[in-house]
Amino acid sequence: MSDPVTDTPAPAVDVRFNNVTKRFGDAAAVKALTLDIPRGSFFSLLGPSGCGKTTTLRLIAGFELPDEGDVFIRQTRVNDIPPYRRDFAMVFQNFALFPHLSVADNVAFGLRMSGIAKSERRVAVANVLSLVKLDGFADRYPKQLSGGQQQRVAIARAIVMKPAVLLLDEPLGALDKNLRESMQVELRALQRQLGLTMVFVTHDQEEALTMSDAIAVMRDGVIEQLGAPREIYEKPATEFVATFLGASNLIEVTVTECSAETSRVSTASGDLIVNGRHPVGARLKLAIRPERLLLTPADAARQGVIEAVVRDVVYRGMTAQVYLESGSQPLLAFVQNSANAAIDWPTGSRVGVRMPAESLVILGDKP
Amino acid sequence: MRAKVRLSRSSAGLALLAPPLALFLMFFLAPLLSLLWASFHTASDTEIYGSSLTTAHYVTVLTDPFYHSIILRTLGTGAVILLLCLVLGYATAYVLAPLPPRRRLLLLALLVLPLMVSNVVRAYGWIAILGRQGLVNALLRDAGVIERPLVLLNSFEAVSFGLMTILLPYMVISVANALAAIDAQYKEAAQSLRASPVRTFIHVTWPLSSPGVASGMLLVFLLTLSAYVTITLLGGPRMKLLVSLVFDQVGAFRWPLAAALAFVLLAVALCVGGLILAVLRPQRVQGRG
Repeated sequence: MSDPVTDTPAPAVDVRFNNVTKRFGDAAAVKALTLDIPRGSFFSLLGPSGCGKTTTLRLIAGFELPDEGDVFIRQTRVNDIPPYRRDFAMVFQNFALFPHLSVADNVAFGLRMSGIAKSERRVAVANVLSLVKLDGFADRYPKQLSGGQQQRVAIARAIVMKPAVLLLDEPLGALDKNLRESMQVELRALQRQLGLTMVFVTHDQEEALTMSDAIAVMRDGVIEQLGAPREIYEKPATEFVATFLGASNLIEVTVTECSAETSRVSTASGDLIVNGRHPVGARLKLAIRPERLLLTPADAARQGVIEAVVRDVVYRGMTAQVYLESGSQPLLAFVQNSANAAIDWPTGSRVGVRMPAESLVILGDKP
Repeated sequence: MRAKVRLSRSSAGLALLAPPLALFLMFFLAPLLSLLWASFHTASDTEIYGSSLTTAHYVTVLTDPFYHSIILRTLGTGAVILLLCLVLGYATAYVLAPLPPRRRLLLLALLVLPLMVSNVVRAYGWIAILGRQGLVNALLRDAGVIERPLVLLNSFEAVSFGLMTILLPYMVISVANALAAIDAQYKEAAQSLRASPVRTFIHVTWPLSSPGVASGMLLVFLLTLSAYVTITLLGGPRMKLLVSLVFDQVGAFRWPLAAALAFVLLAVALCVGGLILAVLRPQRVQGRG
């Protein structure tokens, strides 16, 4: 997961954690974290509340200080540098727009504190307001704006600083669903357009999947898995990642045969083929996404097909969720509601469930 | 349908407002207007005010050097008390505000404790400390610093200092509550935008605390104007303020002049109150960002 930190990595790194631990009392919020965030990437810290993702973000900002290890922004070790001298900007969860300042003064605040001349400030503010489509709002006050507009002001106030890294602390959580989705697209477009390095904290897995170049899934202060969204979703490394990001069927199996590239494993109700050589007798934990289960009419057991009974079918428009039971193993299948796929399986009917080897992921233990 | 709901809501509001409104009209506005009426009449030996209209009382109060000096002294005392309460009160509140709520409330309660003791008692306490035979003079004499007792009472300083100690808790409570209500995110936002702690205070914390500062200053100033007991006991016959004159004129049965002085006092209160609000502009932080 991590390169040796002594190496000079090929792509420039904007944020680096080197073995950082942060404790609150006896509990460690972040444990021995080592992490490089490459320049120009949209990097998400994803995890349930209390996993340490917000603490990680606040360590970059300097609102928390590490108990052990070093934090770097670009080439600078920032451990001893107060927040107001660090090269970052931040979009806060509730935006934290200054209520006593107009939109223009809010956006100009950072420039003013940096000693930028008034005329220069005015130009920069006008430019960034037009970038976030808020021309004509300069003289309004935050309380006169809608949630979405306040969000744009908060983003404008941060990006006008041209920071080395832009930190976003669940910035879309306060918005309703439709607005959130359109802001996701806009934020992503803005990030690409400006080539900004963004560190994005969220507990919303869908948001992380749609927006990120890389996702770090955190639990209990450590990164469980780090990778591109597709990699994380399709090749979850641990049970936690498999279940936190989307739904997964978890199946425990025993290896019965192994050949050069595949192994045969047995479940309570049939045999499956998985990729890779595994020692005979080993117990494995497999994960498979519900949309990767293929339902066929029940017939003679073929390779990679196990039998199951339909317990319930939930119609969801675009898909149907089929709840199955194979022996004592519950399974969930998402079936596309397409012209040639059957979704109306009667409850209690027997079906064959095909699990292709390439869809079965072998989970490891917690790293 | 919506209009109907609104109508019944506003009439419900009116119903709730009616009793206090009636009390306000009957027992505040009406007497105030009759007082105003009285202040424009000549004095009378038998009635509260005479039969002929006059502006003489106002002319006297506004042109006589004696009244001038009293008005200026009132403003000066108020300004000194406001300044002391602001500096000391804000500093105390700044220390109290970040404490956990329980401890903050406990310490605020401790601060309020002196308010439970009557102003009369506390003024006599100050007399015991500042009087000719008081604690301060006794200590200084025993230490050989002075030979004859200093005159500490009946002075501008005694009144200002005494009132300040009485009024300080009001300032601390107002400001501490305002400071405690400021979301910590605002300070972090300021720091993320390159503001040092000092500039964060100047540009963010201070303006966001202005509603509390304004209400504290209004309370302190208005209470200063009407603190008759303390002013009389610590100021004596030499250190009189506007409110003392109102009392004196009533005592001398010069009702119309007393009424005119009362309105000058009201005008002072309104002007200074308006000035405080104009400078602090607390309304700009009302409503959430």
